[in-house]
Amino acid sequence: MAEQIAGCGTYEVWLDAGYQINRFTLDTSTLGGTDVLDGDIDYFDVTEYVTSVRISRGRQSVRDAVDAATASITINDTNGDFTVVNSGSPYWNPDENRLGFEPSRRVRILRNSELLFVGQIVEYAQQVTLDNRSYVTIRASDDLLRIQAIRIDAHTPSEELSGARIGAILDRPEVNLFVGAGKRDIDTGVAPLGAYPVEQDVSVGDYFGRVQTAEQGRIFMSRTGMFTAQYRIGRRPLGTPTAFSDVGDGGLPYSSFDLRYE
Amino acid sequence: MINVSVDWDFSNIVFADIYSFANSYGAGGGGGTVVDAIPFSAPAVLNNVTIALPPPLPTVSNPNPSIDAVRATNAESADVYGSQATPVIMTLLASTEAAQQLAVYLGRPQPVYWFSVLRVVLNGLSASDQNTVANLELGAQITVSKRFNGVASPVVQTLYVEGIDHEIRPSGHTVTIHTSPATLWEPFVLDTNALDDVLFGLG
Repeated sequence: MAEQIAGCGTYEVWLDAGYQINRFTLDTSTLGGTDVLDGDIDYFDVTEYVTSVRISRGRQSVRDAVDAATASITINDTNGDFTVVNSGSPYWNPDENRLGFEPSRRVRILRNSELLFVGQIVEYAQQVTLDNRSYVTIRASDDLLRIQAIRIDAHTPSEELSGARIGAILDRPEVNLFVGAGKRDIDTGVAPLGAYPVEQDVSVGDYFGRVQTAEQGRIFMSRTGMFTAQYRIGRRPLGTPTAFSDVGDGGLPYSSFDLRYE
Repeated sequence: MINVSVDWDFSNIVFADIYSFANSYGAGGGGGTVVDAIPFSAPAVLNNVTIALPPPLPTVSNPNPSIDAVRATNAESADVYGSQATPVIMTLLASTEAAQQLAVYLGRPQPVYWFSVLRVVLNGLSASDQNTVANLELGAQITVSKRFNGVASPVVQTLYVEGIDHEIRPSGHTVTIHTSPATLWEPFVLDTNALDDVLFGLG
């Protein structure tokens, strides 16, 4: 269940176990209860066991590449439910006969019902002490990770702006990523890209890196999981900036800052 | 624009000429000529940016196709900080005009300072302010105001959000914002940009 952090808000961590939790099961489920025939819930709320969460999105400097966002979730496994050998765990996947939490399963982290991160497990590590105290660290990445694993077939694109090029690559049948309403937010871009041949089996991530070299914008997954490609930095019309201030003018207070001069 | 003859494996790039954009920058004054350049690390001063376009595929009749490349330099900056050059940046850009724009865009003729990291502890903020900070998105614009000891007026900077970290523990939630300076706006250029252009226009 969601957990309150005093003075900060309500937090939730949900993990996908890879099967429908509320499938109706003979001799187990109750007629008229919450279970349905084919199940429709596959996320478990594990918030009560979480001791810390660290999320890192974007990059530290404008000249860095934007990598996939990461999240690290630490769990105090007080009763062994997160142990990979515990077939009695409520998270045991009966279809696969193993713990449901494993690499590639989905992760959602929310604050006050707003997504802070959505992605997939990339590492599940358990540390057990001699007195059987168990801690699990789950590392997750957002879906930008997927563009590194998918390869493009050789072809020659049309001359077009960077936004159209990115969309065309994502639409290619061998790529087919982030398809559907609300899955993408791609700016038109300012960089006209030439009709240069794309070599066989170049990864989408590597190719988008070249597009970025030309556009000098940002490619990332939004905190809600939408693929986003932005204009060359400084070229995008923006609304009113969010103001941070220590001068008593009503701006948001901050606790510290680093000043860089180079 | 310069037309450069190269080996196909790009191992021997020799520029025949330099296209100078010296009047595109406002370089800082003062200082003498630097003999030995200080090796700044990116993204520090850059006053010599070279952008190249992919050459056509080699053919029997043209086994060593030439590369079109452009270079943006700033002599005043080079006088002060030495020549701070990028390696040749190979892009997918369609034209040398687009490459020229990018070369000028990437140049930074003098050092800049900015609030590079901002840390905000949510504990104690109003609920509305907490939501604003927690839900910030990459690419958003922020302003940071700071009053420094011994400085009469507050320093106010406009910045872009490049990175966001969340540290959430039972004791609280800290948001760390990584920024870039919003000084990369390209200017409206007379006789080039349209008055009502969505991105560059004045209207």
